[in-house]
Amino acid sequence: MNQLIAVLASVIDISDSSLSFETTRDDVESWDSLAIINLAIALESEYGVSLSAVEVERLVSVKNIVNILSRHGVKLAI
Amino acid sequence: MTNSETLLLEAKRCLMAGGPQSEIMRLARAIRDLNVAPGFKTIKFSVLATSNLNFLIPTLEVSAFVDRVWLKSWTAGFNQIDQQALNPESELYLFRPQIAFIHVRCEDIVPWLAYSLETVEDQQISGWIEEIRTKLDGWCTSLSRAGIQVVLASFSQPAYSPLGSRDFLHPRGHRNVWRTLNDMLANVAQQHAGVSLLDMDSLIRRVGVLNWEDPKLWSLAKIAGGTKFATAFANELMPVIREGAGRRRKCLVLDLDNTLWGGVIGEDGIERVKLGGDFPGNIYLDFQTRILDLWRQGVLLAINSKNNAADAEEMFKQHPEMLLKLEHFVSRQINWRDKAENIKAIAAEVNIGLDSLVFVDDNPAECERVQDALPEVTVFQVPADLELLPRRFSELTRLFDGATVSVEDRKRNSMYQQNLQRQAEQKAAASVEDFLLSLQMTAEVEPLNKGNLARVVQLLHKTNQFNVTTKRHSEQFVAGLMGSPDWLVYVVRLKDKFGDNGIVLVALIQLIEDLALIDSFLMSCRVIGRSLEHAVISRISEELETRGVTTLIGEYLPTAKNKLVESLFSDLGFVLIEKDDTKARYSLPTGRIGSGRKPGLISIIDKKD
Repeated sequence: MNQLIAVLASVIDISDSSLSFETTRDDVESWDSLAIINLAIALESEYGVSLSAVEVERLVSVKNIVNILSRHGVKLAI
Repeated sequence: MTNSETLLLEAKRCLMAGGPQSEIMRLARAIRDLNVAPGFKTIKFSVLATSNLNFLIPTLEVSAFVDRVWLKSWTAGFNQIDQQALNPESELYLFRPQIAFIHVRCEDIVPWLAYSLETVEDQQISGWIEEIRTKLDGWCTSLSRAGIQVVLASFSQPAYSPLGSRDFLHPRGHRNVWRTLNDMLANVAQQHAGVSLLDMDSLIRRVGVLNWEDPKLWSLAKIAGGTKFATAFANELMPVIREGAGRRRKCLVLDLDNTLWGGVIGEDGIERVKLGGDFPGNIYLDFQTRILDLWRQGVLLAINSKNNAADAEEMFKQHPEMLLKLEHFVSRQINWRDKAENIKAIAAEVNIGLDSLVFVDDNPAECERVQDALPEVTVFQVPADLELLPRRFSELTRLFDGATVSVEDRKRNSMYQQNLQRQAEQKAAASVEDFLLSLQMTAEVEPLNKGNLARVVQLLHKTNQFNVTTKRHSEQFVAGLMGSPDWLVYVVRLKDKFGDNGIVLVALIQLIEDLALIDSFLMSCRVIGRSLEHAVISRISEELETRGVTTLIGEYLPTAKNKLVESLFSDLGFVLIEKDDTKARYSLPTGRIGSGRKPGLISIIDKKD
């Protein structure tokens, strides 16, 4: 989970501490549509998964991201 | 260590390990956030495109940083090329990049092109192509006028053709239409100074078209080029950036054993080293061919090898498969010194910066030593799996790549060209004599001294063909002739209008009362046919007469290899006085040789110590 938070924070360009499981794009100004594409690219290369367009559109909250990754078989310790 | 140096090391590690995009993005951001980067060259770079190429930029910034180029990039919003390039007050001109990269998908300008063109009129297609040409031409004109260097991406054909298997032969198949489009593009580039092309097709071929087109990124955000594409793209664009920043490499420094040939020359000898023929000799021969290609483009070559110089030089001169010759190298460090010290000596001798050097060695310890001692030098290790060498080396050669071939550097590679020129003159000259005369040859006769002793001994030991007695005198013996009243030694250097051929002829003459015996008379193969032997014998004969010598005696001792000089003495006007199977002896009265063939073709100068 910490690793995921670090990746998200790095892509969205905020500090690790301002992200939690409950954070959504509404809480973070820099989580814009460009950041969503950046997240998709970063998550794909970090975890070796391939996301669909619909999944990319749903990369709008930490919770969604964890769910999508786990559907791709990525195990994240919470 | 400063911030920028730490970042450079991190960036290098990340690229080498093929680090994830998130890491690349983090590094790119850190690089952008730097306040200063001492020792880095700043290049301002812009992207203009009909699609979204933002995702390629971080990798490019990180790659540039590793080469000590601090790339400041500004990317126009996609499909904003007209607004940015044609309006002198646009953000683009405010930013003032040195280099602008333009990537246009022609389907973005004329969407019909992506679909079947089978039922479209030829005239319609020509009209579309003309429309695209007009746009490109306008952009190039405005950008060039502002002094911005333009790199145009060539058009890449869509992955699938609507005509399927009929596409290749159909006049309006994608393949034909794209070829016309790219011909048009090349034509535009040629009409503007400072416009170069980036070959997208060869780039895409290397990564695979499916890595270039990520359907999801394209559908959601018009992003062309998936992340797997980013590294290849950066590598392709880096030569332009390097050139702009003056970071193009100039000199390739090569180890010898297990780098230019397989095996160790000092131990295996010429007979057993591997070069040419089957694996692994074929790989080494291929490697030499590629190196020669670089040399022809003006890349300087140098040797840095732990070896006995004589062993290594012997290999260069005697191995029939050696493509590289000693003359190709502007600096040769063949000794037992530390290789990092040798590299410093090479940089000093050639008078270029250490950061212009690329060092190639098979030994990981040597590579590490050089990289530690001289971090500015680019170090390349011959892969342990030798078959990977051609591909890896092709990647490496991008460091020398650039839009121009430097005339200045090419000048240094002069010896080869001198020879080509001589051959050209020979073809042009009406007769051999005219040709020889046109060379404006000067022979410099030097006394034997400490400076030329090694070369004289080398010639005595090495010359097989043009050598009348093939006496392999030891170095001590030859050294003993210096200043001896009983011996005359002629050491002859030949120069012509193309340059210095070096010391190419040696004659040892023993004086016995009023007789002079030619103990040794030999000449280097590379000046055979220049009439030098006539000029020198004529000079010797004259000089002997002034010393009171009446008769010059010459001997021919036949060997397996010296048939070339069997009739040398008769040609020079000597008279045969005795002959058996093991030797032929000739004599000549001293004095001016009237009938000696064309001594006047070469002027002779005496060089005193």
